[in-house]
Amino acid sequence: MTDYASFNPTNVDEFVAALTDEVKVLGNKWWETNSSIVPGYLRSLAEATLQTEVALVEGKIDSSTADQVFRMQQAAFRQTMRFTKYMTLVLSQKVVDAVFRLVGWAIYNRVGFNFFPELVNIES
Amino acid sequence: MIRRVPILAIAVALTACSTNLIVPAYDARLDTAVSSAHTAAAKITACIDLGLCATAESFAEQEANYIEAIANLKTAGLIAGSLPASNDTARASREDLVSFVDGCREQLVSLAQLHLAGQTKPELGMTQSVDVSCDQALRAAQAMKQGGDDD
Repeated sequence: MTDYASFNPTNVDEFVAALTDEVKVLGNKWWETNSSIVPGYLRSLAEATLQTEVALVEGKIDSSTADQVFRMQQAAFRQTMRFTKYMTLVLSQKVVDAVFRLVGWAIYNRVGFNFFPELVNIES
Repeated sequence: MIRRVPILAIAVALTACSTNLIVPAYDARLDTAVSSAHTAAAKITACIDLGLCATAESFAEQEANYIEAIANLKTAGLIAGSLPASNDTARASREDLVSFVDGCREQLVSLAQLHLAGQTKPELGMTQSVDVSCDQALRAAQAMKQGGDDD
């Protein structure tokens, strides 16, 4: 992890190396946190669908109720696909933020101007 | 002075394109509303999973949780829909965010109908879609929070 307060690259290679480290750490952490979530959702929904199917076959629920429950599950499956896409965009945004946080610190440490106050917290 | 102009120009240009470029920024009001709804929804599905909400009469005991969850999700939907988004990509992902909040709310409305009809017995596959949908709404609302697990 880069020491932001003292980050003051003097050449492109130094800058790129720091950026690469930031993005790599961010990507790894994001992947560790999120990679198991979507399979968990899919397993849970698959289990639900089977339960409803068995309940219908065994006469525990009528076809009208089963229809409503299947539609709820279908909506959740569809939402899960959209969620997967959204979380990929979130990672992209986090990468952009990580890059500009570093750029912001480099500028601040060089000229004393904070152009990215939403990303560069000079209080800490 | 001559040296500062390009730096300032570049920095101002970068500032303009750095925020809300891909997804809307974190919003604490949205997080609070969805968190409250998530907690209330979890109480309802837990009650059903435990077999304590298997009758139409048991709806009355959960009515406050349904109202809290659905009311908070209505508020959250309005907040999410008005988050700043500076381009088409950000506007599209804002629509995604709204759809997760609305998805959770619609799941709860359907569950309430089943509950009022006395159909919410355990292990019939009725609670998972609610849990999944509302969990996604919460994760999406908190995804851009700084200092989170994946930040």
